[in-house]
Amino acid sequence: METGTPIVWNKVNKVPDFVYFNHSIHINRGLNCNTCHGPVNDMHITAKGNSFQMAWCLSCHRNPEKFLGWNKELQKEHPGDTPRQLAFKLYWKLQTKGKNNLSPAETILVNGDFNGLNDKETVDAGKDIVAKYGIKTQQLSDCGVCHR
Amino acid sequence: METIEQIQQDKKEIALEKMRAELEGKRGQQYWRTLEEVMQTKEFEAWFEDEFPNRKEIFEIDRRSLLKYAGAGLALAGLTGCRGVFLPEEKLVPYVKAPEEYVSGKPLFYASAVTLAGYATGVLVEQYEGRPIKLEGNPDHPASGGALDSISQAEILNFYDPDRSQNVMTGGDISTWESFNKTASAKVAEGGVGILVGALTSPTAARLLARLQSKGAKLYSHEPSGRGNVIKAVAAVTGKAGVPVYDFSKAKVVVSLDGDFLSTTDNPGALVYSRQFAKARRVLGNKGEMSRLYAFEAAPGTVGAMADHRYAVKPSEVYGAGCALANALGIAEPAGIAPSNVAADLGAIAADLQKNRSASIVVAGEHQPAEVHQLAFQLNQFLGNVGQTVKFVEAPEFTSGYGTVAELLADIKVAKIKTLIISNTNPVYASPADMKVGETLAAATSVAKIHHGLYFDETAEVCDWHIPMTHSLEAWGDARSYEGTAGVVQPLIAPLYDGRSDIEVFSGLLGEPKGGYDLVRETLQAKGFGGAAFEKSWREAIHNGTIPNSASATLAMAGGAAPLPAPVKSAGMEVGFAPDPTIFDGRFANNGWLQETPKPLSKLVWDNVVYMSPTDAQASKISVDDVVLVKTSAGEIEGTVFILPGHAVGSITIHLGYGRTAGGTLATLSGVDGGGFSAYKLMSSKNTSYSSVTITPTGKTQHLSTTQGHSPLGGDKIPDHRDVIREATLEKFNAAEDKRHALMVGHSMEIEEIKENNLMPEEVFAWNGEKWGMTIDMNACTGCGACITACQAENNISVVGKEQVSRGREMHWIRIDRYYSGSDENPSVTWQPVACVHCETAPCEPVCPVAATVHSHEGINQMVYNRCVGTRYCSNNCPYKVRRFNYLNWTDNQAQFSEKNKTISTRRIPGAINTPKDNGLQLLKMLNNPDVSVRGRGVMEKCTYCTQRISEARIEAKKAGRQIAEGDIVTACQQACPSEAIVFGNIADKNSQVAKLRNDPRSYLLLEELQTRPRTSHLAKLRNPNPEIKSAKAEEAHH
Repeated sequence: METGTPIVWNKVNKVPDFVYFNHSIHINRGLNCNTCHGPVNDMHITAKGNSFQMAWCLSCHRNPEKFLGWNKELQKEHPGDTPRQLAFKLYWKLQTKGKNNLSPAETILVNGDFNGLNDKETVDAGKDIVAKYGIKTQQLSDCGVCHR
Repeated sequence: METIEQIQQDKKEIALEKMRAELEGKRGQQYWRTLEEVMQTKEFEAWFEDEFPNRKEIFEIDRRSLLKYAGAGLALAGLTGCRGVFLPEEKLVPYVKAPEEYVSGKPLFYASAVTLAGYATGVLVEQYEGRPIKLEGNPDHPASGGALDSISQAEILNFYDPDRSQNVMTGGDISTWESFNKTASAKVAEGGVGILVGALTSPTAARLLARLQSKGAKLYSHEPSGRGNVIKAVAAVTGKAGVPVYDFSKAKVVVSLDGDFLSTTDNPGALVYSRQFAKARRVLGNKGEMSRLYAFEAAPGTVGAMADHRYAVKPSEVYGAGCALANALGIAEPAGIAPSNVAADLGAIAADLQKNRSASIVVAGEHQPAEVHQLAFQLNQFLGNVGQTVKFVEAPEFTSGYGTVAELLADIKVAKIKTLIISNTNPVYASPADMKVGETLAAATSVAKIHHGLYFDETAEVCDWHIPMTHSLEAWGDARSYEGTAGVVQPLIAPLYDGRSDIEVFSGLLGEPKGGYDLVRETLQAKGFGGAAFEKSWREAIHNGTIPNSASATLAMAGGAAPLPAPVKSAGMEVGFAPDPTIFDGRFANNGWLQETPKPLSKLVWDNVVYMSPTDAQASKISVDDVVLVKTSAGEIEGTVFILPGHAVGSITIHLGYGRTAGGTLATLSGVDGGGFSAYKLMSSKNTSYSSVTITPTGKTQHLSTTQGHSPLGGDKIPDHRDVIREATLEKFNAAEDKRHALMVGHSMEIEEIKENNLMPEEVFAWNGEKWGMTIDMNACTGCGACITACQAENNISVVGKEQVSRGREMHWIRIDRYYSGSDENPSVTWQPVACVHCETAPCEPVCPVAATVHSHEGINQMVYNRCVGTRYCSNNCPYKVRRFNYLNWTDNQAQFSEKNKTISTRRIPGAINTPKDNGLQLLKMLNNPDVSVRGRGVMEKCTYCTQRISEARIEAKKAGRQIAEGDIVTACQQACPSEAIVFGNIADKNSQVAKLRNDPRSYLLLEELQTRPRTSHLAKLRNPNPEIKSAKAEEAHH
């Protein structure tokens, strides 16, 4: 920074040029960073956390409720917060309480093994978000959502 | 079936009698598009039978080679498969200091302006990561109102043009600004400086040039398609150099004396005039009012196409016809000479004008001589229009009083000029042949000649020095609009090459070199702009793109103008000259977008031609594609004939701008690649509008590329069989109980029958979200083509070249079909823009073997490029013929512009330092819109309703926790359209504009009975003929 020379990073998380990915909407709906990027908090050398193949994208785009309900405990702890704020609150919780005090869903998430949760509680919490924010699940797997 | 090549080799016969018999006999065939179609020639049959005729040749590869190619293809396929998993390693380099307000991946918009022949149109420049990618109209600028014409939009391509001049040049070698400055300052110190500029409105340039003049420099200007005639005429009636400004929204009757006020190539206010004109003719609901347009014109243009009554008149007879109209109104002098086709109707036109005093406009064509303008002004005054619909303002351009090129040449001959600076004008190419500018300049060896321009052009070739100029997107400047409002031109990027702007060069000549930023600010400061709060006002001016209250002062019409000359009766054939509707006077000849935008009426691309009426062609035994020798007093050229229905008999029209010999790869194409011929070689300095001419067939032929015969709608030989076009007269429409039947011209099915035949459920799939739809108002469309260029810029659409266009491989996602109805002598024109209509039950979808084209829930017929394997079944099954296939790798292959003429791969642009290998393609890649995939070879593509803009709006609305609002999504074509003919929105929302228009009585669906349920609807055309005029009544009965 001081020398004015930018750091040249190796790009590990990437999608092909014909895929249009928008970070902001994913964060705004409460998807946590680790959901896609894996356990970056535990990585000594940053690696791709997931395959980033289309089938992997679709696993969530077809059933978003399985992926959105992970924050049901955080919702109770911070009732006024938006899903976007909760996505970041996870790391405060991790820092202040340590890994051992996270909920099962949060633990899976920070460990980077999150492939969605099928238990009723998570799915119901996910469905609440889907309903509250008017996420049109049918539409999420329309080609034009990611390809232009 | 013959291939197109064979057909082209066969000499096509224009058997006019046969064609007219066809037109007379076939009442059913009311609409027609080309003469070939009416005559059912082999070429038409070929286009009809096969969407892409001649593709056979691609398949006519013997089996062995096919296996070879297949082998290579498979090997490559394997590699691509690997790439899918392990994408090549890329590096990320972040900003150390991020630019102000920049969010990665989001575009920024800056207000600026582009100029055409000096006149500014305000733009918003879309910029991604520091590179400008698209120009859009600035809604706050008086000359734009948010719309933008093709030429202004294509400026972005000129900016990235790899053929632009890159270096200071002298004696054929690259030099430096230092050595130029040294040489030039010594020469300038000797005195005898002459400066030749194009038309300029820039207040800063005015200030600097005035100072140079006071220091002894002599100033000249040259603008081949400039406003000299109109300024002269305004000076005659007001006593001061000025221009007329019209308000077409208040006009109930408009008479055009060869004035194409709807084209920016003819009138710098055209964008605003188009909007006003459309407003005065918009009929919504069951009843409405429309203004009425009478047009006198020689060559069919956009105004004639919009006219309710059009009269084909030879260019020289326009004045006589105008005088006759004045006589009919009661002005005795001068006595007019009415051409026979006009005479009978003059009384009715005059009565209509009298009835609408203070609410009419008489407008003269910019290229018509000054007396026509003066006549129009006097008619406006007589009708009480001045101060109501017409006003005069001081000329925004300050160069009209400068010396002419003829005076410059005279001064050179008497050795008054020792140093000549030619800035941003190309007199060697673009001046009348009899002036011999090139020869005179080349012979004047004692004069130090300096050329300053964007390209190393014909003028640069005869000069001792060439200094590169900056494009308006990379330099500070200022310019005024058609009504005088000044605006700041701000740069979007550092200069790509070693250029300087004109004001920087002028300040250098003054001996006080300064940057453009300081010069523009000084101009404003000198005028006391903003007073003490200058910095604040300056920032506001840059932000808004305009200087407040800077419009030109109004001029009062004074009496005592010189009496008008008596009209002269035309004798024999004559040729009319007009700027080209796409490449203007030749300065855009190196612009592929403009070259490939079909000319409005002829739909011709990449060429200029000798436009001729069918009657004249038949009389001279000339047929389509014949090369003729055209001879005037000034010179002769060989040109290809295009038989244009509706052209005035006894005259030909030739557009300027072609036949360039320097100035870039595309500018200098020739023969089969396009490029045309230079009309300036026929032009005499005595009258640059028209002259008498002789035409002799040469026996040679030259194939032309025109797109109108392509893509016959509905796979139907008879376009109106399924009511592709619907129209009615206003009178009939207003009176009708059943609007649908009143508008139907052909034999479409009844609604009940269509419903009965329907096999699909009412709702194809359940969806309660947004349903995107579009309406296109055929009554507003002027056929200008702004939407085509907007779409091209937004969606990274490729240019394919003349030869590929003749094979039907043009890539434009939106086309404007031009339908004729009536006789070939003076047909009525109907414009119909067609892009993918996004059928709810799209025929293209079920035939795709790989599901590469599927529907979205919001109703968009999506095209998934990466799934497409190129079977082209979808295109075959599309009744609207809107799908475009990438036959070749257009994006990476510049040799596309010529398959036969291989000169391009070894092109020589003086001073260019890009390697032949990349041909400047790296530069052109910077132009691509990063929001849209760049398509490769073998992939189908088509209109997406600007899905990237929809996605953007949807995401932003979701983040803000609201619904997508009306106006959040504006498609590129809608945004550019000057007449607001295109409306996009959510048809599920009953209050949206698009839903209301979809339910308008004029609304109809193209090929409705095919049950495709298009989401794009069209609004039928209305005409407003004068019931007093018999020809109109006859036409009505005919319907």
